[in-house]
Amino acid sequence: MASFADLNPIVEGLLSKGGISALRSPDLFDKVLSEDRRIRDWLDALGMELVVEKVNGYAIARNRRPEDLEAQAEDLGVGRIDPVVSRRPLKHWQSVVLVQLKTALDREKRGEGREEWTLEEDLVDQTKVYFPPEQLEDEAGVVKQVRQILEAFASANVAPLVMKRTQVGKTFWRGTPWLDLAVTADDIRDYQRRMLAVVMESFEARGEEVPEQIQHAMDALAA
Amino acid sequence: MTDQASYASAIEASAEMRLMRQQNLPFVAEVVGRAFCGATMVEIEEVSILRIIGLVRSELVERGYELPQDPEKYLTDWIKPSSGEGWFTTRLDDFNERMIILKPAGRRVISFVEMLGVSTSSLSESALSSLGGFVTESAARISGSSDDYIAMLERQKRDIDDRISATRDRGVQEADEGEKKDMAARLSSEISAMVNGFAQIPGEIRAMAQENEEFIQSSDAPLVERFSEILDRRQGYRQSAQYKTLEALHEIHVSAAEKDRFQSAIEVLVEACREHLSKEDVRRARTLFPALTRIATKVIEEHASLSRRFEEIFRDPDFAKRHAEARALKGARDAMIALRDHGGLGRRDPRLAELGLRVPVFPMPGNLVNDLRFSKPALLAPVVYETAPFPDFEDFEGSMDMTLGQVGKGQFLEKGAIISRIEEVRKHIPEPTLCDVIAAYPPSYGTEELAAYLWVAGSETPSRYRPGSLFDAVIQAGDREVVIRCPNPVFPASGTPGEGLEDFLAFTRFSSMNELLENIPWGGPRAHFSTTSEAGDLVDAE
Repeated sequence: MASFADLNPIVEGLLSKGGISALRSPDLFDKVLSEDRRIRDWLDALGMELVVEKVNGYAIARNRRPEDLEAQAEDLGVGRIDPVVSRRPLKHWQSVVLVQLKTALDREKRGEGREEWTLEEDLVDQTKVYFPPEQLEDEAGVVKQVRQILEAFASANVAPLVMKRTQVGKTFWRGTPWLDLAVTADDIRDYQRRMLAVVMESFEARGEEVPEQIQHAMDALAA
Repeated sequence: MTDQASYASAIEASAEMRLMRQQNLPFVAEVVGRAFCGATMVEIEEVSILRIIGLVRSELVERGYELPQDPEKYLTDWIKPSSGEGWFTTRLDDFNERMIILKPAGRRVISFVEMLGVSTSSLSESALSSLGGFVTESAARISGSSDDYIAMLERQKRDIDDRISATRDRGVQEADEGEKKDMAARLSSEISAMVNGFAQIPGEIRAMAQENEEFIQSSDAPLVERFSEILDRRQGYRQSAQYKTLEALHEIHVSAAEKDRFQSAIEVLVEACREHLSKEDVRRARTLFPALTRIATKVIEEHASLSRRFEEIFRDPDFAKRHAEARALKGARDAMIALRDHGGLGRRDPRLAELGLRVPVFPMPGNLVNDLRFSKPALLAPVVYETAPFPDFEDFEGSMDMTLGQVGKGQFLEKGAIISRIEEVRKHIPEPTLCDVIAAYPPSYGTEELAAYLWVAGSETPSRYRPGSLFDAVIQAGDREVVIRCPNPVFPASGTPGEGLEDFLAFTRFSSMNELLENIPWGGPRAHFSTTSEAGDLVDAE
């Protein structure tokens, strides 16, 4: 059997610490680049894939998509392959915050490499847009809730999704490379599908016709 | 532009009017006038405007104004008032500094304030002359007749020739005081109009870039069509009056001779008309061209960089992936709005709890069990220890006893206590194994205690692992018996924690730590299997 012993620090970094950063562990990151093929082979057996973002210098392991796993199982002639990494659902408001930060990261990638840190007040304002007006009557409560969500994400010991910094007494927030790589377009579309399902249920519960625009978006997701 | 019938509705809709009705108009006007001039006519750093707000506030308070808030509070209100119109917007610059930008409506209000008290009747002559030239030239162009247009240019040429010859004959006619006064009024007015229009250009460029980006991300058209559309838009902007102004200013900026000629002319004009100009007008006139040309160059560079950025977007091999991601994000934002408006969400709506994104949970989170470090020499003979029975909490007489038991356990398994037991054994055995330590200190807390030793071996004290080095511990838990096959690290006096772990892992038939973990019965008293017969399954050879 092929030995993977020398990959242990990489495996530990990927599966226990949330990823390997070129900034924090330059040697280890270089090793990820040089051992790319072997790491992929190793992760393949776990139903996972290696994702390397060379620009930001970050590597993570993430589950392969269900359809890829199905294809792999078929190739191998086994019943099915379940990824070893499970996923936990976040609450809606947590996800709303992450979508804002992920959007900023997306803009950043299409920019000129400049990091985009969002001022806390601006981030809170952007998030407030998605709260129903009656909940915004307790605006202080909503602001507090958004801040708590941000702090909780930033203080995670393993793979924090959000990072913060203060400058001239102001607090700025930015999504981490982990958020960028671990939450994929498929994940976001799943979230969109669940939200639209709730909207459609609400229309149906009221006995109203689902607006064409929403039905169209749902059909597009299904396609 | 407003026709007479809709003055009322124009005033109701006017952002300028709402700004002018604000209670602190003298205060904010003074701040804006000082902050948005010269090199900072378009935008200013937050820290600088806060300093100006503080300064103006002190001056006005001395004059009897009541301005009790901090500068930060005033600035926040002027950006995002709780009601009414805001004066400023913000953006982060290349160094992540927050920049404050004066909104177009705010600039028009300040321009109006600047022109208060200036008689505009003297401007009518120059305005008439400009209007005459403009309508004549426009009419000639609109006619579409080259002959008409050439005739108009010939007339202009004759007029200039006449003026040249008259000047040769009689010299330049010196301006009298009345003319100087008119020149001063025109200078002030033109500067105001110029700054007003110019200051909006960077915002327009950024808005255009944002619009283009939205287009790129939302359009389903083929890539080449999207790229062509962006190129058309860019070409359209380059033909616009705004861009031509920028180019003209940029040309002045890059030509030292041009710049000197303009600046010298302004100096002459300012000196000649000085007594008809306010101090503020003199300052604005003198700083106008250096500031405008510098900003124009910056804006042109920004425009060029935005154009490059779009090209890079299209050339990016990951474009399709990023496009998909951007579209998914936009879709999610749209769905968030739909959910807000039609989802009938209550504050504690249970549907919200599990609606969100799914994020990965690591197979090896940083807790005690997963910090285990696997060991080396195979000590396959079972080592049997009697341990304290598992506590049956129902037998406890009270919660105090329970707490006492938990505290005692905590102390026993605490890092310092574990290390001191290892050090104690090392006094008798130079390089004791975990098996030796357990022989000297029989476990009182079963699997948890073994795990605590391994955690310390992995992260807190020097330890070394050798391939295949395991031992079996039989834990007596009350009337139950549990066999644990456990890694057996050596504890040398010096070194680093977890040496040789990689080789240890490679020696097993398992390809991952996770798989190995799953095959070690850490589950406590629930698991039970006999010892030596399974040893060969766990290690490849010894």
